[in-house]
Amino acid sequence: MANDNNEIEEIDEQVEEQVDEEADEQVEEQVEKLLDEKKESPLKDALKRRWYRFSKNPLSKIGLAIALTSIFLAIFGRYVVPHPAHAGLYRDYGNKFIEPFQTWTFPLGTDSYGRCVLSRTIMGFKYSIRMAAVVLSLVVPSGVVVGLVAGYHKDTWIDTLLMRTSDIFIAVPPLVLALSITAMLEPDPFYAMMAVSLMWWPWYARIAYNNVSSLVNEDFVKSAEIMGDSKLHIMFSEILPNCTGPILTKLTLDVGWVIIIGASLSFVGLGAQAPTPDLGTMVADGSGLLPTWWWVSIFPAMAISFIILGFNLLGDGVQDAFEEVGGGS
Amino acid sequence: MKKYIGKRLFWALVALIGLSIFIFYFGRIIPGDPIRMMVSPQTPEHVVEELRQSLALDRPIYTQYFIWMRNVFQGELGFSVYSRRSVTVDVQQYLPRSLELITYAALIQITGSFLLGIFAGSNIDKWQDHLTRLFSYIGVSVPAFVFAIIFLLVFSHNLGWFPSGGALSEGVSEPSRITGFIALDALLQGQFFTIGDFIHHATLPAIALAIPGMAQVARMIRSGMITINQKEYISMARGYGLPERIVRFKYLLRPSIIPGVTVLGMQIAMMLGNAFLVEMVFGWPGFSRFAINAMMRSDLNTIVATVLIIGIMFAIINIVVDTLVAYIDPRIRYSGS
Repeated sequence: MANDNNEIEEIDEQVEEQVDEEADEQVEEQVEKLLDEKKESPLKDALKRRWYRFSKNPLSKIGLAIALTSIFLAIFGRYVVPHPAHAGLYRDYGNKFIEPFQTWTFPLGTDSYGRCVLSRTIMGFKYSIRMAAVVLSLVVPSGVVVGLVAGYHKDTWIDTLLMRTSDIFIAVPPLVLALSITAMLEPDPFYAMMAVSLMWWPWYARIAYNNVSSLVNEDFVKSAEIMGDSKLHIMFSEILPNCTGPILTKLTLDVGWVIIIGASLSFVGLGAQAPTPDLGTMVADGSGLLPTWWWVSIFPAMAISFIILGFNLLGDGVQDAFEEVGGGS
Repeated sequence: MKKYIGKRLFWALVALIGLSIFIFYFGRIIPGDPIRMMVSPQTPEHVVEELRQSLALDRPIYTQYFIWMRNVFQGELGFSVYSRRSVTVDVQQYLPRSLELITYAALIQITGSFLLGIFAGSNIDKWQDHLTRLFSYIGVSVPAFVFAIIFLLVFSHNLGWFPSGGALSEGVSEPSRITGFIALDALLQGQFFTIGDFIHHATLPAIALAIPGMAQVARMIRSGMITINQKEYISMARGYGLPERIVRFKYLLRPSIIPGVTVLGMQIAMMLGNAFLVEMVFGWPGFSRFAINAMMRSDLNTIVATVLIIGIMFAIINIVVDTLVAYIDPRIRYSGS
């Protein structure tokens, strides 16, 4: 009996082991499968999560739509408008000062030269968007690098030198310095862009600096230092990716600000010159025609506000998307 | 606290000196002869050279800078090619107008943003809140000069409520100069009609200047109120059965406005820049409009003086606001030094 019992137990154990092994294999397979999926998509997951947070607010999506429309019109404006020839020195005095909403040929009326206000306004998107694109693509990398280097060398002479230099350019409102510098050169959109860039990078230096100086004491930076990683590696591969949220938010919100400054410069007469259909220049030219021919200035003015509104809504959405993930405000 | 303000003043001074060096050098290295701009093209060569020597423009740039700096400390900002007299005189004439306008706009902005912010913060997610949000989006998105033009069109041209330009009506003469500020001088001399006329002229530009920032400050106060409202001491005050009015105005409001005040300071400082556009649209006889006209004629001395003066005012506003915040917020006041 005892033997039999033993045999039965042995057989039981064997069966159990087999079952266990099978189960284990199954579980392992599942785990591997899951791990594979996981391996593929941490980035995708993060993007999904951010898109979810972004799209929770319908205003963000409206902002995205406006921003994309503005960029589209900036690139393809001249192929969409009814009168592409009206961009420059075009004169048709027979059609001057047609009121808006009267004819389909000139839906938003015509200006003092008989040019289509709608066409010119749409073609003006190019100058505003180009201003923002050029300025930000110059300013963001340079500002961030300065802030990164200064923040990593916090409380050394490098920090003092870099950050105090950047203070010089934000010691006056950006518009005043941009006006002064462009005025000393000559009125030209290129100089306007350079002048605005010159006073914009310190803001990115500050943002990067504030984020970096709170990150340098984190463990992952310390361990990278102990591992003997180079300073460059630590700054750009360890610290920088953790600052992307705030920088990206600032960037989208800044599109609006740069467009305002650019339009203001043109409005004063220090940006693109007539007959270029720059929105600010058009508002300035039209403001002399108030109040009788109000549409010449009001429609370009509304277009500027529309673009800026779009990028502001977009910026708020980006901020929502990065709020906790990005670390910092 | 004193140490903190001292430190701020020191670094502001460093930044201003750096700024003046930058703008001075920039003005001297760009192509173009400042002397040629001052004199007529027919002026004989030896006169040009004499003038160049008397203004020290033949010396190296750093020497020129030190000479200029010495003059600035003596209150002499240099000769303006545009107005054909000393920039100091122009500053004395035009700056008070701009300061009056900005002060008026700041008062409107402070009142408006606090009312709006508290209005929205007391009615979270109700229509008042949504209205304020809409208003703040408009405020952020519409440039100051667009506001100015629309106001001019609607309230001046169409409705005729306000005059369309200038600081005083044609028949009204400026009060004799005591301080240089029209409103103050008129008040000191008891000319109340002049004050009324002046305010009538200044209201539209002041509102155009105040609105863009007002919206943002209101939003900050709103979110401040939401944050503080969730604090335990507020729940406790309510739990004690204190009347809502006392909870709101005694305990909730003061800490709620701190972020708002910081942003308010930034916005008032930004007005110094926007004033350039608004004064232009409304033909306001202020310093910014004068500076713009001088800039269009590449008047170097005026440009450098403008940047320096605006920089000084910018620094003062920032330091005053930081001090004010420290005063409102005892956490900063007592930890500071």
